[in-house]
Amino acid sequence: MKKFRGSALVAGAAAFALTISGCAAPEELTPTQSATSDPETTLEWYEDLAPQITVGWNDIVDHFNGSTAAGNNVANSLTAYLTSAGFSYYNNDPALVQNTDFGTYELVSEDPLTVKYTINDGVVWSDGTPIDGADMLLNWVANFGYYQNEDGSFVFEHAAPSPTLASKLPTVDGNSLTFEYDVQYVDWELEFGVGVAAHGTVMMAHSDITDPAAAKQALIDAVNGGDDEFMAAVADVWNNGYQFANTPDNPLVYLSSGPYILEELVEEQYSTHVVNPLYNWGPKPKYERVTIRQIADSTAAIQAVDNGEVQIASGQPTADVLQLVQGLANASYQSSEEAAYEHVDLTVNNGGPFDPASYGGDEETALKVRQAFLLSIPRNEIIEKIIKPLNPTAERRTSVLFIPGSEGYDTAESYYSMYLGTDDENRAMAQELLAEAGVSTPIDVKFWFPTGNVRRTNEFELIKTSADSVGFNVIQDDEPNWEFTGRVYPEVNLHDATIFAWAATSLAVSGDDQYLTLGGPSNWTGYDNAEVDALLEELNVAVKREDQVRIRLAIEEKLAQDAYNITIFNFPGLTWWDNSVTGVEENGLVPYYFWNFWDWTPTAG
Amino acid sequence: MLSFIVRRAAATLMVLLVASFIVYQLTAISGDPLLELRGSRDPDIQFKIQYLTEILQLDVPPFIRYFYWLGGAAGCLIGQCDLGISVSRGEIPVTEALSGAIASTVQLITLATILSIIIGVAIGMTTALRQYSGYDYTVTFFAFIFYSLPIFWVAVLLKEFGAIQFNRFLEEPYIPPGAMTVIALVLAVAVSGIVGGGLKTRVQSFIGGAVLSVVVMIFLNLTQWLKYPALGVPGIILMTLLVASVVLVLSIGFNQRRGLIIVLGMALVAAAMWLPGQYLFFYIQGPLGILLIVVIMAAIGVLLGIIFGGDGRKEISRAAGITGAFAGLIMAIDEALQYWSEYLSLIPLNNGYISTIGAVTPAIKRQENMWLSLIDSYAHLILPTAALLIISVAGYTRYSRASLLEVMNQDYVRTARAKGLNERTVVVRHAMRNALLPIATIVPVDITALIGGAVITEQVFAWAGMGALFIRGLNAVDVNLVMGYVMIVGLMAVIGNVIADLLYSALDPRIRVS
Repeated sequence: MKKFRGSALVAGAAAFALTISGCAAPEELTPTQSATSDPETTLEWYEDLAPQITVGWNDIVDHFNGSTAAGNNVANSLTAYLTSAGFSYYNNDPALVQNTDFGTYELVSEDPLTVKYTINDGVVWSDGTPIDGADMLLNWVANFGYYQNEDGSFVFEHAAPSPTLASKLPTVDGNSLTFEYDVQYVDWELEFGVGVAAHGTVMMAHSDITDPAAAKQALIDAVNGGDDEFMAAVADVWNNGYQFANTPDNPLVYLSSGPYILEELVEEQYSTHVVNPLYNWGPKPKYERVTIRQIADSTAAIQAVDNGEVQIASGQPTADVLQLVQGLANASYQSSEEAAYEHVDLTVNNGGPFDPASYGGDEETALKVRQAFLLSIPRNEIIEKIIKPLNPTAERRTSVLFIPGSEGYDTAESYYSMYLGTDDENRAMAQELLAEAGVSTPIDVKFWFPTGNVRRTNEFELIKTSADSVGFNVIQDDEPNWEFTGRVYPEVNLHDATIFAWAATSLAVSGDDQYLTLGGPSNWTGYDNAEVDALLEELNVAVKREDQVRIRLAIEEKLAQDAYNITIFNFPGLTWWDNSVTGVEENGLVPYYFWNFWDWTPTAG
Repeated sequence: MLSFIVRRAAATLMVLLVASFIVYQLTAISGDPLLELRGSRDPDIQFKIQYLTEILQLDVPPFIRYFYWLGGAAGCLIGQCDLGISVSRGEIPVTEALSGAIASTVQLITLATILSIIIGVAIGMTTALRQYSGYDYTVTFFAFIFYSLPIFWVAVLLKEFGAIQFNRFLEEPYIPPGAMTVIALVLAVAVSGIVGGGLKTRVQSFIGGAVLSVVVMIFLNLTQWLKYPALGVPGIILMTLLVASVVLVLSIGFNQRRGLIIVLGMALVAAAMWLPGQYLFFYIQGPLGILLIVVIMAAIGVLLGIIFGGDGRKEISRAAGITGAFAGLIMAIDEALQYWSEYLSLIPLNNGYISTIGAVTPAIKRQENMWLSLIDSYAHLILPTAALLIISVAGYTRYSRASLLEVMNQDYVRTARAKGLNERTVVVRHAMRNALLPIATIVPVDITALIGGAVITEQVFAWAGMGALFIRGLNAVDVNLVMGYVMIVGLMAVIGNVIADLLYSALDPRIRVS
């Protein structure tokens, strides 16, 4: 035992000796390194970039070709928006803004409609390859469905191929591309741009081609020379070669033409974008890195901003969410109006109360009943009780075609002057109209709303109470699956009135015919007005903006006269951000609050 | 045994088949995957509806569509899984989505499971030993409260107080005297409750607990330890002593002097090995370094036990080896903490370090430094782990308390006492081991339940695991994705039960599977 104690003592002493001698060591033994090197650049705007900003969204990118049917969604378009430049973008008016630092487009001739797109010299992909006509050509053949399989399906699986718009191959001339539309197409400004890189797609499809310039030339030759086999391989990559849940190994997949380049993508977690050292054509961002984190839960996104992990987030407001956001200590928020709007439509061809056939074909009587019903919808009360708690600045929307604040809205609203009174005034007027019409009350109205949607259920309750008081008998006719949307003319919608929202993601002016023309795929009301049809046709070929506004106002006037429907409010949106960043602004259209990411500025200090 | 497994496998297949059919039908009729598109006014929306109808085969009734799916899923039996594509996940194959999700879920629940077993069993067994004491009643009270708390609420509160407020507190990490008094009193009551005994012992332990907590808190205030945690050599010695005491209690007790000196001496060895450890971590980067230090320390412990252990060298070297391995882990923690300041400078948080969402900080992952990533992982794991812990610890506490109480009333425990063994030996050697049997059979079932059941925790903490995948699938009426989830979770549940059965028969000789 004595021997044992001795050795323990020796061990202990040795240990402490070592300990004391080692106290000075850790500094030099702790490797301090910085693994990430900053991008090399000669551009001035790189000076003084803030290191990073993190923003939240409910989903992140998983497809780098947003033009494909598979990749066409909002999350993909956000990364695309950060990593690409284009001829134009939406501001938050909303209006289309041109980016002439990138390139220009012009109308060469109005008839036939011929347009020329030119990309500025020095505008390059992030690997240094110039962006030019070949890139636009690739997008052209995809966008206009130039290649079709024998069964009529498209070789390039574009999200919305439009072979009827243009079929004559464009002329490529260096940086520019000129092509001719087969029809007068009103939305030509929104139809076309640059998609994924031509040389990247070709080089991934044909591994024997390694030179970008050769790849571009091969593509142009193949398109012009009719080499379908070559193009089939390109199309295969275009369709399927851009889908990645994690950072792609091949940088050709995420070539950037914009301020940022994808740096890292982690499935279902985040994507990080670092500034593009070559970018010099368009607005300059103020952060070196932008990270988009996937946060599906609104409460989680609010707490993440509170905790400083995320600087900007947005979501659909509920009363709870708004209250939490208002309670944030060091953050700001902005309520806003999204592009989707709530409206009540009336079915006019189902033998119901709004169908002239029910009154022996008496249009006047049916019109008065429709007007009376629309008047009896308590719009002010709905906004006061249901929308204001979510968006304190919410206002009524009274126009089908015009977004509040956009050019023409005020005139459009004036066509609905009879509906603009208070709810009580409107109800009184509704009673008068019913008396004038001489119909026996109460009138049964089968009213549809989506079952299970709390907000719409509440709206229904308010509408029922109000409409019943003026002489209607509103019958709950809800079902969850929107089955009436499958009933297109000549089938008829069995509901007399429906409430739902139209969502719009762009300022396109065409496309209204799908719900305003009898037989259109979304016309579930049976609305049919020859004058409106003629105006819509005129609109589709009205290339000039002032003509577009004039024609759309004329359509709106007809809709108001016919008591087609009544719009109630725009969906509320909510964006909140940490006060360490300024310049954040909400936008109702895709890409939402990202639209001015270059204005996001770190607060001084 | 073999026939048992074969029979169970056949039953499993049947259960999965029926379950998959039912879930498929229910999911398919639960909603309309095109619902969102129906309300869109986009000009190209008709094309999109047509496209989705085609790839999802929406024109085929679910009853028949199920068999298309089954055809692909049957491929799993021969190693060619085709569970379809997930439209809500950018059309990636479901198998790919699942593999990523399982990995994150396992990452999330591993620590929570281990900790909840250790903590739950420890608390449960101590309450059993102090049955009907104030401590027992308090633990029972809180166990029932925690057991019945809704996890989404716990999680949100944890974020508010465990992350946001705590991080703000860290801006100036100073515990005021008032709070200090309250905390010290609460801890002192807890300590005296656990120690138990007569009035004198209780008073002593109360005072001891109070003084110790005040000293610790003053230390925290002075060193700002909560903001800049570090161990250093004193920390390593203290932590190793702590581990050594626990190991001693559970193994050879405090009465063998040789054992006592050698096991506690491991603290000194750890201190002596600190500097060589620094060199080791410097030259051997990556997980190998951690593994190496753990092995070396364990080897030293075993060696010391063999050389100086005398008659009890087998038990002593085992205890010293285990203590050494833990000491190695503590040294690794110390190494990681040396990167703390660098970590704080790299993360985007202004104050503090506790994260509320996700699993990693992008800025840290870019550094590709194992130690920083380690800190980062734990800064992200701590809250979800705590949320899962609070609820599952409560369960384990109840199980182990009941189990130990039952064993303590057995005849062989009375026999052990009668032959004059001291209380520690009776409890640790004779009672505890047998009381652990039923717990061991709960664990596999519990783990499988966690894999499928962390749905809400994952949602609240933006964790990209199985639960998040399930929710996403349900919201988008993405039948393939939901089915992938159901298959995995169903399979896990069945396998967990089989393992539990086998484990029971392996541990308890009275039970045979046949």
